[in-house]
Amino acid sequence: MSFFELPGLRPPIEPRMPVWSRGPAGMVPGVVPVALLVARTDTHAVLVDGLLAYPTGFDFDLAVRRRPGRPRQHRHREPFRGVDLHLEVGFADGRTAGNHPRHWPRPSGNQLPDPPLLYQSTSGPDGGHVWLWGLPPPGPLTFSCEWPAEQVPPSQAVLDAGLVLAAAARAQTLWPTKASA
Amino acid sequence: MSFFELPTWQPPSGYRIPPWLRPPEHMVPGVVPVELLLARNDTHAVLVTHVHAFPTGVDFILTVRPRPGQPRQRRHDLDRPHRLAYHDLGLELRFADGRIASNDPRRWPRSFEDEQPDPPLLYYHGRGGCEGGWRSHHWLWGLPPPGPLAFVCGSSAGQLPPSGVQIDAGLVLEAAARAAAVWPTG
Repeated sequence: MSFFELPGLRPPIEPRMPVWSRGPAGMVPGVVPVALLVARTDTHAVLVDGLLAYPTGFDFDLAVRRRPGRPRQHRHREPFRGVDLHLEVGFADGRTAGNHPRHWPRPSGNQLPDPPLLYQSTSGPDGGHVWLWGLPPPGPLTFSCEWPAEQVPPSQAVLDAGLVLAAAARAQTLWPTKASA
Repeated sequence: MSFFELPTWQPPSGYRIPPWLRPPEHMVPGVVPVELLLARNDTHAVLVTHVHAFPTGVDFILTVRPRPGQPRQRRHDLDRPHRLAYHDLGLELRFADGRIASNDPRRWPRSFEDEQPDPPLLYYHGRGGCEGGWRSHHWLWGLPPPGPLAFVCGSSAGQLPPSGVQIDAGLVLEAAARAAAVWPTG
């Protein structure tokens, strides 16, 4: 092929994030109508809220609340210290996913990791944003956390996975393709 | 007082953001069970998500999503003047009693940062994103009355004509009643 036969320059397109790392951008998610109080001590609380479900998984906010009137501890924090807030999600069939690096997959090529996979895309002193690749089976869905640095002991809250599955079924495609329209 | 007698340094006692500018931090919100698709054209969709209700108002996220697979937009894109400028996107909440709350700062009371305004006030606190999407956190100070509650968006530059959806404000009021204090007093 000579230079004059080269295909025309095309504008760059958005880099594709792996499908297991986030919810599908072209969908309206189904909302899971609950917010969970997972842990509470005299000084801190950890919530799971903003639960949104898709056919491939669900995302949520891991939100830290500090009791009003209590001054923040001023520490020399390392970047991403928020990862100290350990989170694990447990399915009714015994499978678990967590935000500890030991849970992270080492994908090779285009091979998809086995669900469930918990991917925490942001992390900081006020919590973070979490995507869980893979829907749970029916039954109890358990959110467990522990935050040793802030003396938050192992704590958990349980949600009926049916709420997540029902919300995932309500998710809609924003721009249906002709084949699916 | 000499230098050596100065009181020891104390960390800042903590500026409190006025309650009319943020949702209460110490509450578990009531989740309003809706996801709202306000507008959609061939290139973008505008959604309202994460609708959380409290006794003092409603918190939510206004999201703009570009259609996947589009050519990446450049910051100053003279070739595609039709592109949706996210920052031009306006939002109004229309109550059943005729009151309207707008996220246009020109419609906010002049002294809203220091003096408690009459509700409703639609304030945005934090916005950002990238070409893959844009999000803006909004706080509506004041609950809507029963009846229809309309979310209407549009871009001031005209790329997106006014468009919106209506929900039953009762969903918001019921969710607000479900909100609970994280640390109950007494």
